[in-house]
Amino acid sequence: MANFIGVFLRSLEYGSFYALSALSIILVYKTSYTTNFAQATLGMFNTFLVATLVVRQGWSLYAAIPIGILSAIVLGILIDVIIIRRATKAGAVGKQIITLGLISVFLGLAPIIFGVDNLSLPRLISAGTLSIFGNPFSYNALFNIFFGLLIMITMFTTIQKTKIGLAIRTTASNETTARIMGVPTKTVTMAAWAMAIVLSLISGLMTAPYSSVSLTFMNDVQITAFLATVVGGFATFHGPVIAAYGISILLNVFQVYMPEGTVWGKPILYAVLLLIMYFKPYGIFGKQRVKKV
Amino acid sequence: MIQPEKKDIALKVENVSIAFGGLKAVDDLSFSIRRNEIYGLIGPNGAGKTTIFNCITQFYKADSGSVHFIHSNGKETNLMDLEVHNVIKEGIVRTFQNVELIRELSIIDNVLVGAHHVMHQPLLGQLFNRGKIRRDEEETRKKAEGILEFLDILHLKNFIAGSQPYGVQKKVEIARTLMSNPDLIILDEPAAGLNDTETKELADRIKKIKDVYNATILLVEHDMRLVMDICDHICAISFGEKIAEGTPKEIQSNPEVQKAYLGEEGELE
Amino acid sequence: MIKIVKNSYIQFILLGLALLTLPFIAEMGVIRNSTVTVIGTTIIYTIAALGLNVLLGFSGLISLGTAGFMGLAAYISAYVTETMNLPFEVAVLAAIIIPTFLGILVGILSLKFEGIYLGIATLVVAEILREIFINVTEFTGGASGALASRPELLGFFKLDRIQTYYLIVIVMVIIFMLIHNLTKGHMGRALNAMRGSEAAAQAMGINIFKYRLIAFGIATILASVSGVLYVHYVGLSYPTTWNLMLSLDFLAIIVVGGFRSIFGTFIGAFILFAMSELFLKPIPALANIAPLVKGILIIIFILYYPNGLANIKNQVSHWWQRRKGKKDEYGQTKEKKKKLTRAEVRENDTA
Ligand SMILES: Nc1ncnc2c1ncn2[C@@H]1O[C@H](COP(=O)(O)OP(=O)(O)O)[C@@H](O)[C@H]1O
Ligand SMILES: [Mg+2]
Repeated sequence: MANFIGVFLRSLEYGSFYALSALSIILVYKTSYTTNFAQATLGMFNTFLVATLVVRQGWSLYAAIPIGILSAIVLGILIDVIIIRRATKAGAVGKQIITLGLISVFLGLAPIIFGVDNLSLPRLISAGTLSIFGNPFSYNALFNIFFGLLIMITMFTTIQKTKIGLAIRTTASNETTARIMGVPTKTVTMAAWAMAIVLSLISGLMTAPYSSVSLTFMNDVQITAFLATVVGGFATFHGPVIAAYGISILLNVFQVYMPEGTVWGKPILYAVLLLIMYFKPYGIFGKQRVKKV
Repeated sequence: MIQPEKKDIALKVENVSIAFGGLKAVDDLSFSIRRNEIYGLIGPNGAGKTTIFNCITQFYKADSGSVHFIHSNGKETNLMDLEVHNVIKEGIVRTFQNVELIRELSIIDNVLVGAHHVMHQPLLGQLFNRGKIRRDEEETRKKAEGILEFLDILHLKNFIAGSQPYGVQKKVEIARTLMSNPDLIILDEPAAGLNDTETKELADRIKKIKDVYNATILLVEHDMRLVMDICDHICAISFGEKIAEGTPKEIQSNPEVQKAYLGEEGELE
Repeated sequence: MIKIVKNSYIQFILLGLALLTLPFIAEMGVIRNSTVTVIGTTIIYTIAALGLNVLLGFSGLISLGTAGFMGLAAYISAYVTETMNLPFEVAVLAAIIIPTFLGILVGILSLKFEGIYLGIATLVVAEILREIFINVTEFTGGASGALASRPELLGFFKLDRIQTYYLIVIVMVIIFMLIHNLTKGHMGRALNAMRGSEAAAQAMGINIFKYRLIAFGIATILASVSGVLYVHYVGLSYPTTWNLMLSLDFLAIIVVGGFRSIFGTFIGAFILFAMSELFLKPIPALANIAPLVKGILIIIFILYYPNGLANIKNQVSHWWQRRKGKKDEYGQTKEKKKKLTRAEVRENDTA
């Protein structure tokens, strides 16, 4: 039992990483109809920037993070303005290909700018542990849990309750109608891209201390986040996020309780989630939309 | 109106309803189409005409009701049991209100797509481009050219479909339906976007298609002159419900129909 | 004469013959032997990229699993020939059938409802395969990789490096012909229709699920063939080779070369792979910019030149026809000519 609570809390912590990435994916998907495969790579890139400032330039983590956020916002705006906005003729597939091109660009750019070595990023909260039912739990882990939840709650209140949220929701449900109604859809899309890349950065900053900052350190998070988006459904903002936490619990249970779980827990979970894709194609929270012909 | 005898009927739509969210797009609608007639479906925008077409061709699955197709040999098929891509195998083919062509292909290639289900080309045969496959392609191409000629657009056959004027694109869609040896052709607003001369020509062609291809035709059209001119029977709907059914004359003089159309089309000729 | 050269088969064979002469040219000292090896690898990549082109170009579906399936085939072929000591032909069969079976399974799970799910599913499967490549060391040799020797045909005819190169060229020409057959007729139309308008395709009796599966099946088969040739030509397979970056290389190849074009695929592979191996890699300052360049090319081509380099041929013939048209008819039907040549773009399209 005590062990289980430990597993549960850890799931919530990892759930934050996945949920932040999933929210990043769904935000872009809903506002610019783009499946953003570059989510992890962009998160990696900005995390690398922060890590470089900290490790190589000796900055404090808290001074480097605002620079990372600024960079994320600028990148988001640039990507939307320079590329996505011009891709009107490209269609959904063309835009997906563009995000794949972005992966290549930033995977190529990162070693040129930041060097080829992996960097280790300190935790957001460097010290302190709490014992919860006999499980040692770092303040950092607890911070990740609560900060993740805080962001989710803030985002959903914004989306549901504020004027900005209304603009996002109308853009998401029908861009043309939204534009006719006077919603500045271009600004909404641009802001969504910026926000999405900031979310990826936060996910990266939380994940990095558990591994190291490398070109591929966020790939696992991205894959899980995509599966969460499919399982939660592309229809709502909250579906992917809830699914992300759910998958995180499953993953931790698999890894802890399965023989050889640390190696095979993840691949087996992925396979299970692919099955869910087949049986629940519109997600647990989505319903089948009749395509208008 | 006198009910037609069963063996004369080609399509029987019975008590079909479908709703999207709260909106009842089609509400308990029934009508029957006689074999080898031109049947018109009219109604204001948003009345549910396209939705009925989608329910017949199984792009939408109706919430309730049934759609039966009766072959000329008397065999009856419940279309609701079919997957959407199998409907054409029953001899039912349609066009779309918003022209659905493969824009970057030539007109002839677009038309050839219509022969998909009548061509029997096993994958391995195609892989090695066997003589049989080549002959099949050749014959189908000839047939397509014949149809393009029938519709007066043969000279455009190698042009890219997407760069053609709307009127031509509509014709290409019709040509594509003819490739499939159809028994029932469903046309969604075939005259939309055409000028007067083109519309007259189209009316003529539709009548000819009925005779030459021995087909039954079901169409939605807003151009009342065309509808009144070529249809044998008409069904008028409003808000998903049938308000009148009968010959063009009966429809024209029906007060319900006139009421439904006021403010929309103005008057019925 | 012109007519003969216009025949696609002849073009493929001419290309094949030209490639077959390279080892002789190397023998004469005009080019280096290593250049021939790079060209051989380029051809191998062309084959996998062509599979992706059938999938993405014709059907509009994205796969991020090309490298994963290619790697799986490479490991299977290496395992069957080296560890199990079975004939090369058996290895080829196993190395094509097993990944294709897996591919179809993934296709069934992801393609029934939404086309976009394939991208995600293949991303996931590539990751599962990567874990297998690293962790199932009995099968893959883990991080130290798997070794494979040159092919031995029919149990006695052992090929050397140059003969293997010939085999690769011949396989390429055959695959070009078969894919040409498949995509220019009935199936090509069905795939085109599906990409152009799902609704129209369905109304015309095209079973979308079936054709998506076929397209993905072809992509997987070609990735497998490519993987088999790779491991027996290069002699080695490392888990790090089969990563997402390689799958993106294939994507870049077809975006730059041209969707739906066989020659375009070859040209794309030549430019993106051979050129970067031969000209970028030897210069230290430029060695690392390849991914950046590829990424930028992908984006620029999608935005501004979506038909890829293969389109140059069409544009040249367009221009040539117009010139000829002017000469022939002194511009009297210039307008008409212009339109006609535009239509001809299509006729050359799949060549
Ligand atoms: N797939 C769909 N999802 C939601 N609403 C739909 C869908 N298809 C049709 N509708 C709605 O059904 C009603 C009837 O539409 P339609 O059949 O297209 O009308 P029309 O008679 O002009 O062809 C409209 O209000 C339309 O918005
Ligand atoms: Mg309509």
